Amino acid sequence: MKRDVIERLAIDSAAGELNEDGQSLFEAYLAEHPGAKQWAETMFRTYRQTEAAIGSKIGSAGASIAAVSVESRPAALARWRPALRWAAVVFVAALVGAGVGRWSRSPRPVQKPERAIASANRPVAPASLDLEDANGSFWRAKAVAMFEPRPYRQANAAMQAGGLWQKYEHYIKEKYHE
Amino acid sequence: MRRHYLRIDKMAGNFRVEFQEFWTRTVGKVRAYMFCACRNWADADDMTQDCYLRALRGWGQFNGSASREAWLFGIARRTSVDWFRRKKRQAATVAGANVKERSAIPPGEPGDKKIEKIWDAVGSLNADQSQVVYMRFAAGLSYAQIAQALGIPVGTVRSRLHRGLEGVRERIGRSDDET
Repeated sequence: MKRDVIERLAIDSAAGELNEDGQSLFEAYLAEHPGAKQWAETMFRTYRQTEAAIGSKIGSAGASIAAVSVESRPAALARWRPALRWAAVVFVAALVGAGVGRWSRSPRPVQKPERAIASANRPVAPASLDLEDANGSFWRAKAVAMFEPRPYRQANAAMQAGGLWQKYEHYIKEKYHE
Repeated sequence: MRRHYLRIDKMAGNFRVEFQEFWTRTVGKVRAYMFCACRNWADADDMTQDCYLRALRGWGQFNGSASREAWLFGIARRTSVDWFRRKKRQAATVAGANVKERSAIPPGEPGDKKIEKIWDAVGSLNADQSQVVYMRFAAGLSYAQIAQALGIPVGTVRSRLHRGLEGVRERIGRSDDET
């Protein structure tokens, strides 16, 4: 057999990849051929040395990583888990509230003129109340003033008795209502 | 590099037991393989985590044509390849960085000279050969498992292992001659 084949078989033998028959045949062949045995032993030695070198470098590779990843990290996170959960709940609630508020807002009502509202709500004067006769009692004068369209008319007597200051007040009220 | 952590305690009951058992059985081998690939324990840990995260994502896609372990080592190989690509990109973008694939990364504990020579010799093999050597010697996979992990025939695994060990023997012999 060629050296190449002997070396491959030597590697298979060292790796335990030869079956029993193959192993016994190979050993028998090496026993009969000292030259082939020398090639095989060289490869055996290389195999063992490589195995030992890599084995010494990797050492106990599986010892530490499991502890880091499975235990330490969850322990650190577990402390913050309730707070994080509540923060998430509050955030989601705020988000939902903002969304509902944003999309379900009713259209803004049309601003109607104040006068129209006032005239619609204005009570109608009873037929028995004479609006022209405002010179009666104090409360009658008030009632008449209430049913008057604004700016309401003041009693003539009061207007005449007030003088310039009352005229000015009346003028201011009219301006305000305008 | 950003670290990702597996949360095995968060997994559902039966699956957690199954995955944890798988993890316990294989993590040492994967970590050793990753260390051989990058020659740095910190990076090896990151790569191992990354590998298991990928395995977790693709757990349901495993079709059973190979052993679960071989399937995992297929993922481990792709993870290590991606890691090297990322390192290369980082080295290219960072001015003055001198990140080489293997030699610039500090080795593990200094041992005797023979071990260092063999270690360097294996590191200088081409990627195809060194992958097979690491899967065989660091992870202890059989020829069939290596073949399944790499998606190649068993004969090719034998051939690559032989070429790899031949290369190691030549390099050791050469360095012995030089000294």
